[in-house]
Amino acid sequence: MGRKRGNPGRSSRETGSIADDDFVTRFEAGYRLFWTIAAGVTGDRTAADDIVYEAALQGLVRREQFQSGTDFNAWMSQIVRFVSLNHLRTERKHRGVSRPDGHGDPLAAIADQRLRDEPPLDDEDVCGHLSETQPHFDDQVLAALNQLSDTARVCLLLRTVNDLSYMEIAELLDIPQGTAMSHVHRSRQSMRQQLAKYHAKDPVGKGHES
Amino acid sequence: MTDSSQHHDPPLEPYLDGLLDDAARQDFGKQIEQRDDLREQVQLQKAIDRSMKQHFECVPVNGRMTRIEQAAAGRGQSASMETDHSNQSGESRFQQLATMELKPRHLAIAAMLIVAVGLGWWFLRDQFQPEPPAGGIPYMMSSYPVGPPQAVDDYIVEQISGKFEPAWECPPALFASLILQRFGDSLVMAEIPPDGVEPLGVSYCNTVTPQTMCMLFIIDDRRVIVFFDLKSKVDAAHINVPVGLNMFRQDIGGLSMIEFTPFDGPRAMKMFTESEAPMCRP
Repeated sequence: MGRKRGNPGRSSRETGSIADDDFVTRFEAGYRLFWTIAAGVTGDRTAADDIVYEAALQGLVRREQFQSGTDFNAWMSQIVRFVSLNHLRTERKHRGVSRPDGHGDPLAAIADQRLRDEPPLDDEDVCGHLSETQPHFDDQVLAALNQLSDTARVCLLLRTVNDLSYMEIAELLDIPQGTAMSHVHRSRQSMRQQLAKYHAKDPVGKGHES
Repeated sequence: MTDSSQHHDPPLEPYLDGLLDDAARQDFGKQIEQRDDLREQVQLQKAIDRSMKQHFECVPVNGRMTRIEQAAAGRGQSASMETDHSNQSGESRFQQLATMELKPRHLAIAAMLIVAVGLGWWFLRDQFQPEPPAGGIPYMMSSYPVGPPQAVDDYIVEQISGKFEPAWECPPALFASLILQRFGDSLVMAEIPPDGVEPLGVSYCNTVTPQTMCMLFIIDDRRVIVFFDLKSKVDAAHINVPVGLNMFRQDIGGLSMIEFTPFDGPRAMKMFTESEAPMCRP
């Protein structure tokens, strides 16, 4: 995947912090990861950019705290998660969105919005095919994704979207490798169980088999 | 997921993760061909993965890094107070974050200052507070801070050159009540002031004594101050008169009035007379 991880240029000041230009270089290398984490935690891809930007500013402010010799991406990931969770809390407070299990449902909100934004359905045409405008499989995927915990969602997205290994996910999120794997496997199984019926109903399905 | 069938099913997750060795992968491939349910699971998972990738695909980061680079650059420039308009928001946010980082320290300092000021006020308040008269005085009046001792002339200069605003407006009835409660004596303020005399109101001032009360007037657009205190405690000989003002004293009953005015004679004090009928304490 061509990602820069580990130790991309550790030119640091004598204080052990990271220089501004070095910060920008490393941050750019890890941007996609940070973006995925932000989107995964909040479930809101539209807010991910702003969250990552906010995290970058926080990182610049706190760059003195960065320990030379440690993983920059892991350090920044913690900040991104922190900012993302703050964003999520703020959003929940403003919207009053909550679920009985205590998890917010930003993805469900997105999916619901998309469902609402869709034109009225013809449901099925005379041939029994699904309408092109029907809220389709993707919306159900989003809804199922929302059923996962924040950490599980982030693990799954990092594995699926960013192709990270479990070891990389573990380092990034500061969790055991087995936990990362478990999150991903359980999340997949859970989503397959939820989405099986929708997949079966979508024979045209834009080529579900690759 | 403790489904017992998991133990007998082919290792779907390792297959999806690409973690199977060649032999296991080939074996799994054969099973996919033979089993519809397994093939459906794989297809479903690939569909899910594709959907997630599409939705959570991060567009190229070139443009997005610009404002972060600007923020980093603005950080460097902030020391020299050179603010590029294009990165103003990023820089200001950065500075805001920098401020936020110091917040706990500031809060701790602020808390210590508040505690210190509170303790100081607690221990010193009795020294600066006038003794309340036996009958007690209205809460607003008794609790009003009079501040530390101050020379009369300093106080006058401060008032004359300052806002010249009394602590309270004071109609005649309230004035009489205040005088009675504060000094135990009676003094009546005319309901209708003389021409050109406008009483603004009263303040407490720790000047002649901690009990001193003063009243501000505007007379012919000039600022005039009258102090009220117990006659027995007033030593006019030790009061410095500010330059440009004249001091006049008048005693009524047990009270003394001292007027500081730019005019050649007292005009404000003429508003006050001794009560004809002794007032009762409330």
